[in-house]
Amino acid sequence: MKKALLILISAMLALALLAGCITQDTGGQTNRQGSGDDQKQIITCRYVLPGSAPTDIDVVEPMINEAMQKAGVNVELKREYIPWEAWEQKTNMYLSTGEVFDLLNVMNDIIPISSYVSRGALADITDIMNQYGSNILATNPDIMMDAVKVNNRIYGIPAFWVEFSHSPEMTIRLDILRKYNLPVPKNMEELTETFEIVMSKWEGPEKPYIPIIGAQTTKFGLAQKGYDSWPFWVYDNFIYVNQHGMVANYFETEEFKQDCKWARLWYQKGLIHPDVLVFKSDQLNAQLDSGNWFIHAGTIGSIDNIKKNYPDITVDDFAFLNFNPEKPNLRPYGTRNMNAVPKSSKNPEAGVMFINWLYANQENYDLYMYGREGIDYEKTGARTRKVLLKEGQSVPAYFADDWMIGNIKYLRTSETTPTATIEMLYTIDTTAVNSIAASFTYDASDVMAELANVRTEIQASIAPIACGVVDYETELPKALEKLKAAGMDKVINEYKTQFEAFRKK
Amino acid sequence: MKKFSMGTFLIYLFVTLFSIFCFLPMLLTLIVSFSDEMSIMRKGYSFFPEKFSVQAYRLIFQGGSNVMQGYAISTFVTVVGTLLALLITGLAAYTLSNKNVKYRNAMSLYFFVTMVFSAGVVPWYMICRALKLYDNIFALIIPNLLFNPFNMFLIKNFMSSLPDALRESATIDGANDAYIALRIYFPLSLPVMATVGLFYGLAYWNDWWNAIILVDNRNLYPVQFLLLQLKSQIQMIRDLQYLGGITTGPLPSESVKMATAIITIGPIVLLYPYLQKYFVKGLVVGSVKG
Amino acid sequence: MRGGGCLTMQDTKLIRRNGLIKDIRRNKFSYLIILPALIYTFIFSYCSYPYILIAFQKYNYEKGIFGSEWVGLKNFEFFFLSRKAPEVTWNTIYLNFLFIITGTMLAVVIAIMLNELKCRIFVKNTQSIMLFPNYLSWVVVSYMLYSFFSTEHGIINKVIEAFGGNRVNWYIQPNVWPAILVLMRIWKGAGINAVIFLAAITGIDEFIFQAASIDGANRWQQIWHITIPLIMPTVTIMTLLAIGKIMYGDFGMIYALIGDNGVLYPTTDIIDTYVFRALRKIGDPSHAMAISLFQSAVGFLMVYGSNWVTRKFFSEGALY
Repeated sequence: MKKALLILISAMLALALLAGCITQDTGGQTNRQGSGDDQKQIITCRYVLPGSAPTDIDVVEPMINEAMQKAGVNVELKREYIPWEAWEQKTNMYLSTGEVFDLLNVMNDIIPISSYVSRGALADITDIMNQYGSNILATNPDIMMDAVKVNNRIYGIPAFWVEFSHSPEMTIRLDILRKYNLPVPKNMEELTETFEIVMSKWEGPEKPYIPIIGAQTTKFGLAQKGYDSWPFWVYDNFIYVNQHGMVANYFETEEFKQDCKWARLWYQKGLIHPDVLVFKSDQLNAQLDSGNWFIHAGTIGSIDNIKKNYPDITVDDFAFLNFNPEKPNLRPYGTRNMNAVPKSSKNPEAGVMFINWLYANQENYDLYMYGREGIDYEKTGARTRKVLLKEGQSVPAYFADDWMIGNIKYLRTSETTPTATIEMLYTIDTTAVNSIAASFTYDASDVMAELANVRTEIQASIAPIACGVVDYETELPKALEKLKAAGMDKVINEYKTQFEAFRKK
Repeated sequence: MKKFSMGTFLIYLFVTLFSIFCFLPMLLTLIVSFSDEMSIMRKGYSFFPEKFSVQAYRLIFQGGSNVMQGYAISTFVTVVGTLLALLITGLAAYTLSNKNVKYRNAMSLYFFVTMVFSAGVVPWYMICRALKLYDNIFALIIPNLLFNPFNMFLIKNFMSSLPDALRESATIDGANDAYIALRIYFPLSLPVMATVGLFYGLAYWNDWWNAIILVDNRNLYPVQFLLLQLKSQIQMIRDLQYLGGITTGPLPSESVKMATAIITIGPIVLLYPYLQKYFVKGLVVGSVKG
Repeated sequence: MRGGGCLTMQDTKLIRRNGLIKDIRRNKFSYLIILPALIYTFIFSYCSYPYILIAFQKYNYEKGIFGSEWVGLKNFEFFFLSRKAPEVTWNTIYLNFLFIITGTMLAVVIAIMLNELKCRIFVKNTQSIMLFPNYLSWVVVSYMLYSFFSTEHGIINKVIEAFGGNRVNWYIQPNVWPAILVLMRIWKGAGINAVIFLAAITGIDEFIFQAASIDGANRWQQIWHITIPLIMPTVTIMTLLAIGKIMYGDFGMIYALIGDNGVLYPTTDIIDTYVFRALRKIGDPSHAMAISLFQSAVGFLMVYGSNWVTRKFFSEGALY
């Protein structure tokens, strides 16, 4: 029996090794095919990104490649879409097995770029960027370039597609104010009163509760800009950092107490949904689409959906509430979206060259992002467009995603985008201040156990307080105690230490 | 004939009630899939929607040939896969239930270990690549699904429960192992084979994971994967709408969710009654013996 | 007489001494037909096991499994040093235990009931219908569940109000959720599990029932003394197989029904969801592998133990 086991194990190892060798072979082949024997020395850029490919990608991609090569950029773009369901697994698989590809979409808020770098997944592209990335550097301010740096080396190409300096944010429906003959509120007290009136007069079974996903809420920050201590920011949902360099547990701060006071008041007045803690993102989307809402802690992309229930609504029927226009907005970080070059890439410059071409002019950007003019889209202004659909289709034949690779300089909005949204998201805010922690990245590998516990504890005991479901005064001491036991102090202290070291540099 | 007793009545009552609980959600799924998206938005899921609509189905089938081809691939993979899997599993189970085989328990343990321990998707992917199970129809049939120890244990257990006298008397009559297996044990095991066939069939039919990881060629996508992609695409359009792109009105996302459920389970629901005849009571062991 | 035939005790001992080769020679056919399964399992499972070693490494994509730094048990720390580990481990075992017991019992009861009924059309249709829930994904189920339990429009609260009671906010009551989860789970799985037991019952020799009937046993006695004892091996084997997975929670179910609702975590958070959340923003394969190894090892040991006991007292029900 033991002998059999021994034989089994050794055979297993041998076969596993063999499997490894064979796989590496295939990897080599892919690359040879990729490089090709072409005389023009065109290099392939295999770009791995999440989602599913548009139907006409095979038609538009050659057009993109042709345009690129005409401009003297000898890169052959080849996109590989991976369904969202398998995104994390398949990218991990590619990186683990040394699969050869040249550009990887990175979503910093899911897995941060620093995490990829510490595991040896990404190539340092600092020199390549200086050689081939002039347009990239020109369209991205310093704060954006800082977002893709780890230890002062560039590991990614930022996608600066949206202005991040828009928080705390709140969209209000002007059509509803008009309907009930109400003025635009000027502070939180007035807003609360107005909301109550709207709620009581509302017709129809679905009440216009403020759409929030309770379980993910730790700050009900609608009033934050009015606090004396503004500007400050809460990172990772619990680390409070203000502009004087103070780092603290947000739930112990006065600001959190204020936030909870409002949330509790709104919950008790029935302005927050009683089941707020179970709300999922698609329920939230459905509510926004239905138009059964009055204020929304965010922006609205398109009025198309709301139009079905509110046929008369226009793009000007939304306003962005700013109770303290005299105070500047805060830009908490550069960008959360970027693309990076994996170490396995044989042509690490390909990705940079491609994106550099993309940001060269509006024409290139339009072709890649929106497809064929007259077939996939129509220009309706210098910065706007209209999507065109084939007969009987509800999905455009070609489109790419601005949020993955776009840039605010070239991005086109549609005529159905509320003006308030365009002002907020797609216009660079010149008065905003950058957070002093904007380009700081927190390496949590030494406090992983604590961080995991703290996150769980926050969802379990803070979220109900933060959305007002339970009372701050009675519940917070218990929650803080639990957070302490979970290792909150260690996490915060670690952040403080790293952050101070970062500021000294 | 026996009288209709109180006990029988209670059984009928319980089975009926439980069936209703199982049926209503499916009915709701069907109705929602045919509901107008706006009425879903307004009223939530309802048995009595304000307005019916086939928009979800139109959206799914607008690719037309794609979905039909997906169906063909899925059907082929399910039929071939299930038959092969049944064969491999049934044969292995016979050996494990054969009390003459001395190492059957060691082998059972060998199989059981793989039910508990898993090394994840990365080495599995490497093995599939090494065996050229990539981007071809075999990649949908062979990895993962072809053999499931759970099913094997079910068959083994069923075969073990058949009386030992069967084997003994057949042996005395001069039958060899192959004869005993193919002529006695397998015919008698039809009920459990049908059960396991159902499990394999469901696993093959519902699988999209192999397609995601191992297949790039769009002509090989099974229907489950196509529908998954469709849902993914609707999500993408939502993102686009956030940017103010599309002017199509509300996408039927809720009804599409339900319609995809209906479309994929349809064939299975229709198939099951055919398997049922193998659960007919009264397989008499003695009748096969002779 | 190649196939062996009936063996006496002496024969068995003889074979044992002669070892594997002899046994293969004696049972050529049997060993031949199990070969495909053995090879398949070897290639697709055993060959992948060396990769489990990354659980003890700080895995680096560039250096791979042979070059990465060894870190001992460090990857296990994030879980075992956490204050939540006992709670989520308990929840996982507790919920799985409930699922196994209730699920098996209901499936057996349904199988026996269906077997008792004589009206074929009724049995066929109800049995098909009972499979329906199994076809629905947990995500779809979660929407239906919400329409039952939502505070405002939920059917349950409407009933409570109709009887003059007050609305209950079900989604902030951790104590009722284990019961709800058990109900949902047996509702979803009972039909398909009943098929297994139905097949087992069908496999019982009709002759035994006839003999019992002639001896004057009524239906109830037949169920109690024939059907149930004869499907017990199936019950124990199913249970043993389930015990092997006892440390693996039903992630799909919990994630769809509970999601991020932290209020319900005290009773519903399981190892899988906890680890998923802990690692979601880290994306490190080594840590995930460490926990999976822990779950597997515990499951394996538990099956090893319970199989040993089963073999002692009820050898037909043992797995090996």
